[in-house]
Amino acid sequence: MEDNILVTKGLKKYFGTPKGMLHAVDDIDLSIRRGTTLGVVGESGCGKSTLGRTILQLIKPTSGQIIFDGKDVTNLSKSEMAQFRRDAGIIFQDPYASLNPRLTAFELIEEPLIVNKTYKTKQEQQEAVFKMMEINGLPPRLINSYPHELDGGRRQRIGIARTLVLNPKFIVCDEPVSALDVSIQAQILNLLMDLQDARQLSYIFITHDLSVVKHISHEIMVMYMGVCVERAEKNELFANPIHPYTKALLAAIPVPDLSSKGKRREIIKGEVTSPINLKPGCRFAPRCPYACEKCMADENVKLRDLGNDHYVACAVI
Amino acid sequence: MSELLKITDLHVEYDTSEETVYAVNGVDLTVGRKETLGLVGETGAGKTTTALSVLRLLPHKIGRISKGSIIYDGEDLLAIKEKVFKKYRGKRISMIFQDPMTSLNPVIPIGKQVAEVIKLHNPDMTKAQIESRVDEMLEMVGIKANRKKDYPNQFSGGMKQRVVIAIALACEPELLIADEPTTALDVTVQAQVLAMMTDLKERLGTSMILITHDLGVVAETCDKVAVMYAGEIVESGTVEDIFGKGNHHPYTIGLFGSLPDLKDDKPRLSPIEGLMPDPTDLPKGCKFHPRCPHCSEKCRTEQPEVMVTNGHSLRCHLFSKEV
Amino acid sequence: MSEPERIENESKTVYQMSKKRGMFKQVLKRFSRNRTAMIGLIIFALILLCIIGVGIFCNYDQAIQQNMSERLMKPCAEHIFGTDQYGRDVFIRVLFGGRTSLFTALAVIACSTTLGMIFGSIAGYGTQRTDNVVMRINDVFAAIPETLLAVCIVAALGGGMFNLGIACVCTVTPGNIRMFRSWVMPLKEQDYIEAARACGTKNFRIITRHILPNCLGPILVLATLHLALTIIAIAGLSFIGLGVQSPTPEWGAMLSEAREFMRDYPHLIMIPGAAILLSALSLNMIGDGLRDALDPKLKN
Repeated sequence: MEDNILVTKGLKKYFGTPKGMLHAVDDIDLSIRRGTTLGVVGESGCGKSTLGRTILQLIKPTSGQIIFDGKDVTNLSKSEMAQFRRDAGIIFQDPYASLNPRLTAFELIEEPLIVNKTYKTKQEQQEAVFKMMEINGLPPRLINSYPHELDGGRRQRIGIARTLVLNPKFIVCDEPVSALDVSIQAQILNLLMDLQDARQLSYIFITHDLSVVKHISHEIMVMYMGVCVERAEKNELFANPIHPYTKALLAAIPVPDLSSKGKRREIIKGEVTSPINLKPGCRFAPRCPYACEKCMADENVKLRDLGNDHYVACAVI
Repeated sequence: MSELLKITDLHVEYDTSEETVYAVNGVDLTVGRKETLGLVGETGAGKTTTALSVLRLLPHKIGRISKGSIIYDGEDLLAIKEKVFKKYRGKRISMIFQDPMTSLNPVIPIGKQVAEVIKLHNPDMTKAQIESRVDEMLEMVGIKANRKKDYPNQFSGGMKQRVVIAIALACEPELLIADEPTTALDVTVQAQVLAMMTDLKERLGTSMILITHDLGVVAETCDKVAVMYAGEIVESGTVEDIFGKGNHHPYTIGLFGSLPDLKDDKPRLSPIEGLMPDPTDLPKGCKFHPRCPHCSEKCRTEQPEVMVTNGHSLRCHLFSKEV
Repeated sequence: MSEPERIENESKTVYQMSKKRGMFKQVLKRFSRNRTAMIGLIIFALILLCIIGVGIFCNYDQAIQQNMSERLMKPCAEHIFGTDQYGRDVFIRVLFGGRTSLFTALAVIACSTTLGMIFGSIAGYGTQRTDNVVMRINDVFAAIPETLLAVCIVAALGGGMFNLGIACVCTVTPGNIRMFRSWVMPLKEQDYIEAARACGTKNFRIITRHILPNCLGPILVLATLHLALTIIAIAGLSFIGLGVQSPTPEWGAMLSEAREFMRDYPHLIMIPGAAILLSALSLNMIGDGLRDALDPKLKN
């Protein structure tokens, strides 16, 4: 058994909507080794954010197990829950919406410490905040600044500092760089990777940007309409994508060099629909160029092990 | 290739109650007929402001063009009366905005929204003619004509952006300004929309200014590229000039260095240090000097001139020495 | 000490010394630029000053002591607003009456805003079920016409200013709860609330630290505007005899008493009327100004 910080088994989250059951997260099995990053890629509405929030118990799962550090966290007592909240944090996409506009940078980072009563004296607490600001590249003169006075990059640094100040072992990063400019994005990605090295952090890195996910992850999971369609080590996935959806995603990324200029790309048709009242079988089948009869049965599209830690859910291949 | 749009030394300022924001500071741009120009830069670089100035849509009373000229097809756009210019908007120059969710009116069926712009610029068209034109436009962007009675909320994001494009192209404008048309869309949908736009552009012979921060999108769709930083164009040229080996502005190099590469593994990205300068208080000399790894004493004090070699222009002291 | 170290230590002390600034200061700045709002503030401040100051120069007895020899005098040097049918100075009575009216109204608003905040945030932040329970009970109160409800409450509890206040709290609070709930609900969905939950913040702290401060602006505006309404409501209820018992001065009651002399001595009705009008008007002006100053969309 490897040293896994987080394992989920058959994790499901359904939402009741007026039109029927929405299968936001459907039967996800994943595991993350300590100190590594699992990238979760998918388009909007594929359930990747719900997955992150369900793992953190911000949304109660419909069924399934979440084993964090060897313990099932779906049914915790109050004090165990408080410990879990300290060990597992989240970084949000929009650093503006995720910071309380009435609190200063200092208060924002201090807040989790007050809530968890981490330090006994005010002095220790203040020092911890200043140290955290330094680690995250926030100059101390910003302590009295409000979020709206700062730019996106610094706001996201506050967001990271706030999560990190509780010294978590595991962080869900929900599109932490999508709202940022490229040059700032690179700064934040470097920061996240440095922090991982220094503190043995484990991440779930949720994003729609394949180049970012390739850069930061060790293992990648591709999600489509609530299910995992392919999972593999990152170089394996990019060198040898198997599921037609993964291939389509890879083909759709615009590459910033001229080698692909003028070449016609293979573009898949259609858009993601909501996973409500699903028919059995593969959810990608309506858009898939290789769809056939085999794809219409549930048992054919279960995640299969192809060896080499490469899992794929496709009936055709 | 003759020039369709020529912007020279454009300066735009925004006056707020407390301070003046210098959004655009001396932009020179030319767009030829049937050409696609990519305008690249980060938030606050002045890309959108430049586009809005061309359409004379700067926020009333706050934004003003303090200097410069915009020549469109031989006419000075800044000298034309507003009444005349209204007829140009949508007919000769149109614009696509970033967010398709907010640029369509939610209570009017999409067919009517397309018809509106056609009716406005072709007052002598009959109802039947307009209707058939609407059908034609919708089919062209890949929406079945029988959906024209549907409301915007019945469409997905990508489909809405198609409707917006149909509206923008309905009067076959000579110039289309697309402000981050695919940023709000998913990658697979972005690929669809971009392919469609390139296709339509070729078919209709439209020129395009594509505003984006995504260098990948630029590489695939544009003929010429201008890189903007703090209201200035720091480097411009053909796509080959910008993406090729040659000399580059340190900011362009920084932009490329910030991108994670899909092909080879960089253990670390090499981002540009520091932040965008405050547009109310721009640094003296070269605007990029506080973040530039090659900053010299001259950069701090002296604004670099634009150096042009074979159509590839650079605004940097590093290269002015050599020439 | 090296340069960066020195700067850092300096800023640490700066933090310890300076408390909050920024947001509040900006609001104040925008408010002070609004001429109408400033006029309102000055008027209301003057009214408050007079009402509080009157105790220094006059005795409460002067407001209730009858003096039949000086009854129904027109405004003159000795009694600038004249005297009433019992020879009492109208000026002094209006000022002492203001104490009853304004202070009751202030107390009413303080109570109903607090109640509104408590139940509004419980309904808005709580589960669907608590929301339903709170709001349905609230609907019962909101369904009865306000004046009728107030009359019923005073009739049940008996007259007097205290009971009148309770009646007013009962009429103002249901609307408050509904409004506050509607402000809390969208805030609940914000990412920063989720962020607070993710680091283990308890519900009570989320409401007091993250939700209420963020809807303080509209709460303040609503309270100011309601204060004006309440002053009028109290005057109205006193006018129909549900408030104070004579000879206690109160604006509405003074209007009521002056009715029969209205034709010959219009000043008796104009003075308390003007007092009600001015205080309600100035509060409305302040409320509008506050709304403009707090609305970030109107920035610049």
